Amino acid sequence: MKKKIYFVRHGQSEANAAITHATFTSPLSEKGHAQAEFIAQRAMKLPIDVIIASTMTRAQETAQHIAEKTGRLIKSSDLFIEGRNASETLGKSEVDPEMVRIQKEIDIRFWKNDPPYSDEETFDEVKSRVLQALKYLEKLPEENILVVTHGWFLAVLVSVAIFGKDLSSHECATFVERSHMENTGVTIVGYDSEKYTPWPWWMWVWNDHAHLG
Amino acid sequence: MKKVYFVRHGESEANAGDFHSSPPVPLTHKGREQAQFIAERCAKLPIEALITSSYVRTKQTAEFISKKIQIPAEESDLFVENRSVSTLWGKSRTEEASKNTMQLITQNWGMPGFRVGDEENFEDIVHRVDAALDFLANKKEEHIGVVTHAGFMRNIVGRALFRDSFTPAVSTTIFRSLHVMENTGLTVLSYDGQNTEHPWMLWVWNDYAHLG
Repeated sequence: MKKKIYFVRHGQSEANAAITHATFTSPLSEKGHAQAEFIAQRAMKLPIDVIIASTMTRAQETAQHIAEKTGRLIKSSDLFIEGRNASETLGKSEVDPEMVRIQKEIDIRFWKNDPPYSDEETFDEVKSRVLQALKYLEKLPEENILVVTHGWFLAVLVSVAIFGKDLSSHECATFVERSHMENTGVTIVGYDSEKYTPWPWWMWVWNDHAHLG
Repeated sequence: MKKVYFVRHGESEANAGDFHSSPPVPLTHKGREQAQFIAERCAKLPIEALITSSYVRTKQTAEFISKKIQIPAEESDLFVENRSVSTLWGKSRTEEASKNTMQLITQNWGMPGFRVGDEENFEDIVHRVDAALDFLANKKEEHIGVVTHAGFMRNIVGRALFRDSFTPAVSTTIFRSLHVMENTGLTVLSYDGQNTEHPWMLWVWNDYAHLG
């Protein structure tokens, strides 16, 4: 079986615009809605059978634009939400010195797979969620799937697609920290269970944002 | 911050005929059309300098871009394809003998000093990729276009990101998981000399939106 998964990062959120740590309900900014409209027009040319959207507001709003243009149904899933950051950071400035210090501490623990700083997801938890998300996509009857998700989570997911289920936190950190993803960037991951055994996933495209001009 | 726009050449006769390519293999008619599409797209990018691998298929692709953006293409051997063993040149990829040779190379990938013939091995490729990355980092222009090849692109992206952790195993994984690079696909790396920890970042891999 072959599949193509078109991952789309949500449009610019108000949290992105303000450089704050986004909460679950942070909505799209005006610019984010415009970007969502661009990607929706582009999606009309893609052979999409179904839309999956993270349950976070910014992803839901982006998916609405795409659903209106393509006429495809949206299925919502918690599997594709952004990595859960420590609640101390939510809504706070990303550039505030105290927040920078806390985030650094969180990141060090995360990549060493140490116990968490607070209530944030650990590396093992995120990786296990990615594997569940890939399993979910594998089991869907549709072959061409568009998924609206989040930048950081997507970078982890693509690392797993490239390196397989034994991905180490070092390999993952290298890819996540050295790759850049635009709002509404398109990343295509392929699935081919005949050509590639035992690991069927591979990366076709990273962060195509030609629709942004 | 510097940006390097890597473009794979258009479809070559070896791509169309599924045989092992060599330096003089030219573009097909379709490959020239694709080169025209990417040239139009390059006109919208802020490219200030254009480099091309010295192989015929890349030089032909670069000619379309050069004409469109009015910047001469500088030839460089640093960006040619990973050199395959020359006894394979022109042979079908599905032929038993070529498959066996390829398998021997794959099985011994990264073994120091191992070569089947005159091909580049892992050490040779890392050496050339490092020279290519230095060349790009030291170039005075901020926005550089490079017309190159799929296999070489996987290695330059892998080494730029993984640096000293770019082992034979990582190179094999990237070869497997990033095995598709469309003809005229666009890949973008950024370089920030101030960032001593990881100056190179991946912005785009294999964007082929211009092909429709």
